[in-house]
Amino acid sequence: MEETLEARLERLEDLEAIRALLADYRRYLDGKDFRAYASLFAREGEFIAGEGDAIRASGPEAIFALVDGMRGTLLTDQGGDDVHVAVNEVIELAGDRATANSTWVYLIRGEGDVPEVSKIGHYEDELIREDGRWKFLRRRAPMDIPTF
Amino acid sequence: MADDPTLIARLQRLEDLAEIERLFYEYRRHLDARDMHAYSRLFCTDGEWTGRTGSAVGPDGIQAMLEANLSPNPAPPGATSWHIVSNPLIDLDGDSATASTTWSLIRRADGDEPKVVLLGHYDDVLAREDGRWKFKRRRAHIDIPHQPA
Repeated sequence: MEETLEARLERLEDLEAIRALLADYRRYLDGKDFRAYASLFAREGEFIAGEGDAIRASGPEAIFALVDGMRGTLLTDQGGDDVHVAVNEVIELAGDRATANSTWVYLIRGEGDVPEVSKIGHYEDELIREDGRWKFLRRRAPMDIPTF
Repeated sequence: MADDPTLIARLQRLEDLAEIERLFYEYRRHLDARDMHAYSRLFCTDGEWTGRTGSAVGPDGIQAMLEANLSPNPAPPGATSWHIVSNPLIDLDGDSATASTTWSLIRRADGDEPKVVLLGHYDDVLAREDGRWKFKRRRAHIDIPHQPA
């Protein structure tokens, strides 16, 4: 059956909304606005990272506490001293769900005040439309270099 | 609305742009995963790849060339690579298109650190084959470091 124009348009809108979600994620993260960051996760949303997926939290409140606690350790204390460059997105839509794969590069203000490529990894995402907005149902952020 | 040919054409343009951009990221994903088969299927039946590794035509030829020239990924944390693909510019012309993108290659350096080792760009000719956008011709250029003529 021929897909309706409206359905085709909605696919493009969904792709764009998901790209905006991925961009908002890194914007709030690097801006140290961890409340706004946590609000990008679904009510049951999960964040998973670290060696053996040991760093994890479920739900916006717990995710806020987890990421806020990374200040000065996994993240720089001050905004402007680090940036996540999110690239290479491949998004698969399936109605009110979607999956996405992308690459992250973590740059920091290095010694001598020069930008330094500190880490690289990737994101494996499960996304959900919740209350009419696309959100992270599960974001796994494994690091690829350096090795854990 | 459903029968408006102008709207259909405008929508089709956006769909084509989205599919072609996605093709660029699938390309680097299969390449970095060293999935040479999936990578080679992104090319047209007579699709051509040209770059430092050589030149080859058709999915089977491209797969064979890559398998001969690129070592597979060793077990983690082996020397693996990540292509960062950016700045896509796409010009559509019906069932064909031209495009350019920039790429950088990050490798695991001594000391288990990420290091940017190459910068370059792609020049592409694309074609719709059996309803899917594929590479008709991809030229991979290295800009840094200088390449001997």
